[in-house]
Amino acid sequence: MDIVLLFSVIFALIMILLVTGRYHRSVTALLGAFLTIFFASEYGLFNMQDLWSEMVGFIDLDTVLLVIGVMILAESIARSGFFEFIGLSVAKTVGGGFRRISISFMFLTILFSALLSNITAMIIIGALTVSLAKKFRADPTDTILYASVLANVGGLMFMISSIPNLIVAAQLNVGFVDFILISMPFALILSLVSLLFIVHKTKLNISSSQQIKVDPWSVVENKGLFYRATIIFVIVIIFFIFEDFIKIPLGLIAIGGAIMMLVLGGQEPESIFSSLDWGTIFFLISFYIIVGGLSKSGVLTAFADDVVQLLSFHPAMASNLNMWVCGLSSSVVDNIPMTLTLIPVMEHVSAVTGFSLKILGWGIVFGANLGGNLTPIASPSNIIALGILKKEGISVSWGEWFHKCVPLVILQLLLASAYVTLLSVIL
Amino acid sequence: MSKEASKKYEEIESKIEKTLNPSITLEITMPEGVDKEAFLKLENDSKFIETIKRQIRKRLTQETGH
Repeated sequence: MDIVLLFSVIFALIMILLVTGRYHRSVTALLGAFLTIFFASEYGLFNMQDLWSEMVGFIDLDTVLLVIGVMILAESIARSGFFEFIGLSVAKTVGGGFRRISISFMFLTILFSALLSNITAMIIIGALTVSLAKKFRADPTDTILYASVLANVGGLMFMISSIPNLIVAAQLNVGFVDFILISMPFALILSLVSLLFIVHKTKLNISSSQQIKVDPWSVVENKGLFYRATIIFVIVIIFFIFEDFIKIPLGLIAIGGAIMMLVLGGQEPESIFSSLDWGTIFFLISFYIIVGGLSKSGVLTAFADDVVQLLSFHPAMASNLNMWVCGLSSSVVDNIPMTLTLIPVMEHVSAVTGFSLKILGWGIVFGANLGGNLTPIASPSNIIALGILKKEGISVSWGEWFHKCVPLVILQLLLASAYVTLLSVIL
Repeated sequence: MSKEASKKYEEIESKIEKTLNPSITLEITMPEGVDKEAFLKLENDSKFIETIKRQIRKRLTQETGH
């Protein structure tokens, strides 16, 4: 069997299993990695004597360490009660009844998901919203649904805000400051436009003078731990910002910060480790091996050669197409494999056409983060939102999701498309 | 929603609920010589709950002196 065809079939099989969700995504990726190693060895693509060092060569260790470090840091700060404290402080300060609090919580969702995984951010916002809705005897449905869409906008804010961002940052050498200068302003514009859309669509009346009586400190069990976790988190962020000057790899900063948090944070390490999303880490490592196999077998080059014909007219067109492919595919399949597969393809496109790799990379970032909102099952934050509503006895149909959320997501993707075009002209 | 996410959500929600709507659960065994049905109905008797609340207020006010 032709080697390009064989590895294309393996890749197609893995993508079908991911789309259908037949097995857990980490198991599917491990199966793909195993098939890659087996057939690559059979066809002599890998040198059997150096098999393991060749495998390790495919894995971007900086990205893996960055992901693990950021997960430990985010889990530690979330456990200190920091985010519940901020949520209750905002509810107390804003006051004015449930509708006004809803709007502020949507803003908070963007901020929380910029610093935490979308899953944790959505769990905290969902719990805050449901508890306050009970207090005000209000319906939490719209707040939770739109918060889940906005969680993915928060994913555009910083380099640490989502896994596709971390992958693009580590592999395409896009720094924390690049995200602050390019991605964050767009995320802020998108947040504002989205909130205006939501206020208009849900006819939220935000003028009221009702206040709630609550002591936000009561959700913080240990103030010492709260302060230590916050300070360490801020120090790591400062290191990320000055990464270009201090010349320390991102992965080393993240893992160093995580070790500091484990040593000084005062939290139980076993409990932190058991809460990490190991499925995502295994998935990431396995997919690096699958992409390595695609690269060695020539599949990526063959694909990239075809793609170059299509993308070679203008960087704006290339970046836009990249964004839409990534965005639409992220609505049916996880955005991590799309990011990992598209990066080497774009490296080839950039080498052949001379287009800036960073501009092509921004297309991946925007598409991967925003596309997940097109269906209720494509993004973890959407799944959590629907799960929380179900727990409260509220079921949301796909039809209701499409009616309420999809117009907003299409508006976001169109704005992202315009922004990517602008970037390819001015950068 | 996965089991882990569901558990995490319940933990956080209960912590916030306790902050927003603080409440305690007491287990009171049935005193001797009372009617069982009448005793069990007390759990949902709003007048009885109000009386308990008044007792709590009185006790805590005496203890703290406020």
